[in-house]
Amino acid sequence: MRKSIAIVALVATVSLGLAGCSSAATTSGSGHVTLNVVGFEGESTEVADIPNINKAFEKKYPNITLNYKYVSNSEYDQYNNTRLASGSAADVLMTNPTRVQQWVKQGYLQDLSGQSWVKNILPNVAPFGEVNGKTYAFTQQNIPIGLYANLDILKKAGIEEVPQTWPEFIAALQKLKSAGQPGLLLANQTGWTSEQISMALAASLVDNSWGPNYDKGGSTWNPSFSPVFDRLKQLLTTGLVNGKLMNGIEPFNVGNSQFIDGKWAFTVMGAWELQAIQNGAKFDFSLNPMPGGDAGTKPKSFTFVGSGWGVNAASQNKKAAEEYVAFMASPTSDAGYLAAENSFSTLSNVPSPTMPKATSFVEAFNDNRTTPSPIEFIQFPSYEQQFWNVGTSLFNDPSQSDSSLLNKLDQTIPKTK
Amino acid sequence: MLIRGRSALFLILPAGILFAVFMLYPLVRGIQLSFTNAIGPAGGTFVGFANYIAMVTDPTVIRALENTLVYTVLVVVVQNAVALLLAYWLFQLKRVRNIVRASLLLPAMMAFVAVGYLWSFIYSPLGGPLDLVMDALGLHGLEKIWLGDPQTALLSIAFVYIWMYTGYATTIYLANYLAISPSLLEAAQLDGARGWTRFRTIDWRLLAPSLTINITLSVIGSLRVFDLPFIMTQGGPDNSTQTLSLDIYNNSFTNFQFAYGTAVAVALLILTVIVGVTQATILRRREVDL
Repeated sequence: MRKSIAIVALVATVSLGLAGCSSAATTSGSGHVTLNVVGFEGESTEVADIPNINKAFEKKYPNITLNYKYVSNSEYDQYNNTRLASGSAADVLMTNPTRVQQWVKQGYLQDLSGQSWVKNILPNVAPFGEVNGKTYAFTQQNIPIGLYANLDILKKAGIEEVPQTWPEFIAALQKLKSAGQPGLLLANQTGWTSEQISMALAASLVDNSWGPNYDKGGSTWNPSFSPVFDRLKQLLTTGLVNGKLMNGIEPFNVGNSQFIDGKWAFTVMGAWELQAIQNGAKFDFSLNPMPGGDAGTKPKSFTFVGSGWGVNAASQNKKAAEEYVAFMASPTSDAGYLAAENSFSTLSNVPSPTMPKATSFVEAFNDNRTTPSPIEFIQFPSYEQQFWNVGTSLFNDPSQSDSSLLNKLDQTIPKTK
Repeated sequence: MLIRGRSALFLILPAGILFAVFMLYPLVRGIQLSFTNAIGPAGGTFVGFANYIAMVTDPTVIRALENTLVYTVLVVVVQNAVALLLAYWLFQLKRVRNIVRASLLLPAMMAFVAVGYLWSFIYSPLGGPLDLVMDALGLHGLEKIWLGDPQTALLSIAFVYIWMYTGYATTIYLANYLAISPSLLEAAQLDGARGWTRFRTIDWRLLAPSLTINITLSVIGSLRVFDLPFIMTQGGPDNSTQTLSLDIYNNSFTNFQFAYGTAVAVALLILTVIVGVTQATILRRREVDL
């Protein structure tokens, strides 16, 4: 009896051990490759034309079968980091500037400097895919974030044109308030919107070298961003924006629905919502650069350098993975992606899509009145979360001094070089 | 049949391996990692107690600890008080009991994500049902920006957790109530013990086992709170709903400070063990004394 119990236990133990040792092969003997790709776009609310691009890729490379896995952005790091550490991550990884920096530091991304598309990357976005002068990712997304205006509400209040300067903007908000019309929606639950409007205002009020100099020790939040916070305080203390109310409104679902329903004259949001707003809105609208400058200036704004593509350094299918990234950077695929995302091009050989509802923003881009977000140059990973804390604090209590808020940013966002 | 020696060892081997692989190894590896400067789950160099020293002066960790403790006290006290009242009421009302009992567990069966989004809508300052009800009742002073105001955000999240798990706690108290011998309660009644007097002198003492279970479960659950603040506020506004678990997640997966996040996790583990063991010891001793 005892012997049989021992045998059963031994068999169970061995089975358990074997179960833990299984692995999946990705290349068959015939040379057919299954390429694993993971991205935080391609499904859900941000399809980004990726399913069509993937179909075209499989058609061009019949020996490669794509296994595309969509993981939401909020779960993306959790999903990938453990897999990268254990060597079981996907062959191709969707990246963003922060992830490029952090993954390269750990040796997870393949050096792609020799790829043909590298020479076409525009100089102002090239640093976001580079570490120490080497290119590790194809940065694909350079997306406008600015001021959406409901032109019908503006007309009702007697405002014929979208404001171009800060004094005009304040005057327009006051006019809307006097006319009993809704004003500016800054849905700031989590603090994301406080960052976007601050960066949009910074395009007019803070020197362009602030971002690239931050990690070198050449710039600080205090006092550089004081003019930005002064403008925000003007909105928050004069009854034009209720900061506490805004801190209670979720931006991406509730905020966007509110704007689409025609309940606000202005909101600050990215161009990725252009299509959704166009499909849902029963009014005329436009996406504009932020009217943050003094009287007589032209409006400026910033672009958000977002997603891109990198190759897992531990991939067994590096050639196929590099082909996938190169295919993404090809004019046809990139044009499809950019049109779906309403993003400016990051490549010199691919034109930016026409955006009929964002003509003034496109004009500003062509006129060099846009710049990549200054905060994105910072390499400390949680720079956004630290800003959001200060942003919600400002919205909650705008009587706080600029210096106390900005010093907090200088303390919590350390320089990393 | 008593199994000893080598056979016994072989029998516990599969479970022992599972325990070692999935419990002991991650624990040891985590503690080891917390003494490094790793930015991912692997790598890093030994930095001694640097992460633990940094944690003690980190304002976000201190704020998260304060919030976690306030949240825990609030949830444990209110949830158990309400659950006891409900159990007492249901014990008295036999006809209602069976109908209500089935629905008590419903909120606890819902996914945190669904509950988080549901209550975000209820709390919404733009047409949210809660403020609409307050408005309809003329309680304009209670129309708040529940999740947007640092003074109400943590309370609002605690209320959702209490809403989810009060029914669960009630079920445990009710089961304990139903296990009390009816003759004992009849005897107490004949001796003139009614209402509050009976509850204080008889019920409260006999409910000691369920109190131990409920307090233990709610303390451990509250100290580890993550899902609701993550879904509803992401720790804001102004860190007012930042909790230790959320801070661990942010450090590990958003800030790419994996070793530091693990150090905070080890601190939370120690805190949970100390609080859990202390309160379990006190409550069990109380059970014996009663």
